[in-house]
Amino acid sequence: MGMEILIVDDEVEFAETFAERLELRGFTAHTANSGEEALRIVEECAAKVMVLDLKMPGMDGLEVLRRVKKAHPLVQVIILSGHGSEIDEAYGRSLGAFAWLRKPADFGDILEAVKRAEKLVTSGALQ
Amino acid sequence: MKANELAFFGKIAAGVTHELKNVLAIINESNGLMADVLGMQKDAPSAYREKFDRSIKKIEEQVRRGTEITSRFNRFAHSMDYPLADSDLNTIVTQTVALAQRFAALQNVELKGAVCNCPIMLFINAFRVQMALTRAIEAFIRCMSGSGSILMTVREGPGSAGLDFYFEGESCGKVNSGALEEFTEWQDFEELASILDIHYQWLPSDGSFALFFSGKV
Repeated sequence: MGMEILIVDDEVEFAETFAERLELRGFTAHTANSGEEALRIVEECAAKVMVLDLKMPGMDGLEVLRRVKKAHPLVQVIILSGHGSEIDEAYGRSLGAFAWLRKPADFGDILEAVKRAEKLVTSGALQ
Repeated sequence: MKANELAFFGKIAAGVTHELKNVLAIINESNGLMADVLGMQKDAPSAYREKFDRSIKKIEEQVRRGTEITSRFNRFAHSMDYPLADSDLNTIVTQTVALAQRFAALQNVELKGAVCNCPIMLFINAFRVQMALTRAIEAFIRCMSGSGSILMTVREGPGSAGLDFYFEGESCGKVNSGALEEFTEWQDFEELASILDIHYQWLPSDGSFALFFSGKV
């Protein structure tokens, strides 16, 4: 079983297709389509990397990021969104976002960020 | 349009471009998934592999093109957020060139921009500056009547900022203040330049046109 990743995006088609591509590369991908669902799943699975959209109905991505980093500081969160200003990015990074990518991003760039996050988590440097 | 009407239009336009990015992202990932699956079967014989590969490449290129267009339009829409704000002249010029290039290309005129390495911050209405520059470009294109090129070069001096227009090609001699006067685009430019406190002059030495911006931060 590959490393677990949680994809959080209210665009169901995007989350599912993106998860399929990660699974083809050996990851175990979970999906959540709202901030609330993401917080529930992150408690249930062993995902240490999260790919998170910003604008979602209900709880937005920055609030999810804040709560996840508070409850699970080891989880590395990659923001992937078509929304978000430079101010949002600065705030997100101050909350501990690992990387900030804009949709539609090159899959290679996302994969590279995921692998860096995985390396950081598995290296033990954060313990 | 009033400032609040412009801001409203900008907000709606920015929202639409964000949604378009989501659409492009889904197309991009679905296309990527097809490429992944084809890649896994690369040793299996298929009469249509080349056609599939070509189509995947085309979709990839069009997604990239769509992303560039929506990103540019998104930045343009956000330029309506505030009537006055700190704005980088380099960004304004890059944005204007990108958005006006199609108007120029349709008239066989090439439009190019050259910017400075360092930000040149102006406290200015970026939307109106883009409109002024675009109206001037449209007037120049009309003068050039179907051929040539326009180069816009950002210039920075101590305490000042400027933008120079250089004209090349057989019809560049037709671009002059007398010829421009008859175009409504030029009249719009002059009115906006006056409102924005942008000064301008023709440089007889090389026929170029120079703009001088106040409000450098």
